[in-house]
Amino acid sequence: MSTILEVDNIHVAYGRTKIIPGLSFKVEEGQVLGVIGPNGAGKTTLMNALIGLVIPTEGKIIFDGMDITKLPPDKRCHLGLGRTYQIPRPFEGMTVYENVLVGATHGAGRTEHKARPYCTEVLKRTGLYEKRDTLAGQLTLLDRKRLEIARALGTDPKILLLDEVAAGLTDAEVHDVMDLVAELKKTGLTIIWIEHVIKTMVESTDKLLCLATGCLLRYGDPKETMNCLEVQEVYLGVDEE
Amino acid sequence: MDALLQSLIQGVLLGGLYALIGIGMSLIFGIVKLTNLAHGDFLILASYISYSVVAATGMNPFVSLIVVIPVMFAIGYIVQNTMLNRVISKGAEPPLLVTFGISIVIQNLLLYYYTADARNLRSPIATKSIIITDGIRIPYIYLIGFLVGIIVIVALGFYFRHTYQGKAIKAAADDREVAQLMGVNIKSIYGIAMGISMTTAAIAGVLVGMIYNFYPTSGSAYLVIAFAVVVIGGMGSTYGTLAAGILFGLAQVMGAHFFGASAQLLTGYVVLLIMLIFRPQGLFQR
Repeated sequence: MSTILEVDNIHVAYGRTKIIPGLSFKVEEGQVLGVIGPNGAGKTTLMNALIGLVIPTEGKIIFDGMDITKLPPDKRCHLGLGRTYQIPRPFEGMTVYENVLVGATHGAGRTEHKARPYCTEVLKRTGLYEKRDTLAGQLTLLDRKRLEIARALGTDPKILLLDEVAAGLTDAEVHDVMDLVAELKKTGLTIIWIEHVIKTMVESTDKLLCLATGCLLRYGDPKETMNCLEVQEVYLGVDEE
Repeated sequence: MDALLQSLIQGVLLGGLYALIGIGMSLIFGIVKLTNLAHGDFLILASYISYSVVAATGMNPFVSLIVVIPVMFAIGYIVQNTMLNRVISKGAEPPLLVTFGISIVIQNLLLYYYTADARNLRSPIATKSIIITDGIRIPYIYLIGFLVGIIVIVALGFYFRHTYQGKAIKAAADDREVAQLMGVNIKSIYGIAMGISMTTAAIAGVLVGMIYNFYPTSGSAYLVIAFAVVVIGGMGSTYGTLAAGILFGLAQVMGAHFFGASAQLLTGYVVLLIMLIFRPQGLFQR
């Protein structure tokens, strides 16, 4: 497997507050990488830096052999980085189909004619096909989470960044999401998955990265990472999950 | 009775023109979240460009739109990309102040090139009417303004609903950050939106130039009309703008009918004030 993403000593700050004071790791193609850490560990900031919503003050992000550190989000989307939000942010006045269509045309560079069958396939894969004409603002939380994934898939990503897709869902719904991620993994898609529900992470990921105050605490096999004393201390001290 | 009916017809027709004056401002507020204080001046700039084209070629002011529309679209796209996009991420005030600056520059440029003399785009059609009865006449130019206003607003509704670029603009208006993550180039989309806004200003500018005299400083009066229509209709609501235009036009003309011509503007603004107090989100926003 080849390296698809390399994060090389990035520093990220909001104003004078440093959130990530130097972080490095690599992601292999086709891998599901879980990112865990207590509140304030810098997980979402890392996601924002990868997707281009915040630009690191130092360091580099190399995606598919290209330095994307300074690229804006739309250019990163064109290259193949897709992202979901923890709190779903659908285009509420548009239908489910239209939500996916925007990314499938502008993100993946298809004409609307060519995007149509692709959107249909994505909606079927994510279980939203029957609701394609529903206004996104009327969806349930689970369907909104599905739409987040469907919309990101519409952009034809090489890496899908999932931001706490299991948050706020019932156990049964979490299993639905885990099944969907497993299906996506089978297609060879690389996934970086931020999550608070640790059980989900251990079962569904190939590697686990634990962050604490923006620094890398542990990176490796999910079970070994969770058995690591430092990781347990960070979690037990903050969150019993 | 005829006089009341005549006022009603005139109010509705004037409303279509008012909607056309306000629709571009409403679009930019809805999409870019920007109150364009130069909207009225852009509209008058279009009147002057049409005036120059008509003076140079002798063509009908309506026909001059084939030149005025592309020029105004280009001006909108360039202004958005070279000035407003630079400050859009710095909060609400900087872009607002830039539009105020643009407004002053346009007024002074017009004063420099065209002097302070009154100009107009009069054509024979401006004085003709359809005679229904002795007391009821429908002026052609107001009827054209009304119909053009409706056509533009329906066309915009179609564009946003059925074209993939329109959907990207809607997405950007809904959530700018997420639209970027969907691959939408926000700066380019904002440029296109301003170009469309200026296209509506171009059409409105030519129509008002055919009805009224204009001066380099006339833009302020049209900014107030646009502002009133946008506030009554609800910022960013396309069909709300049309309904608001008609309501505002009717309020003015009925005010003149019942209280005399000098009360025309006053009644319109009283309606605006009542709206601001009781329904600040506009008639058509939840």
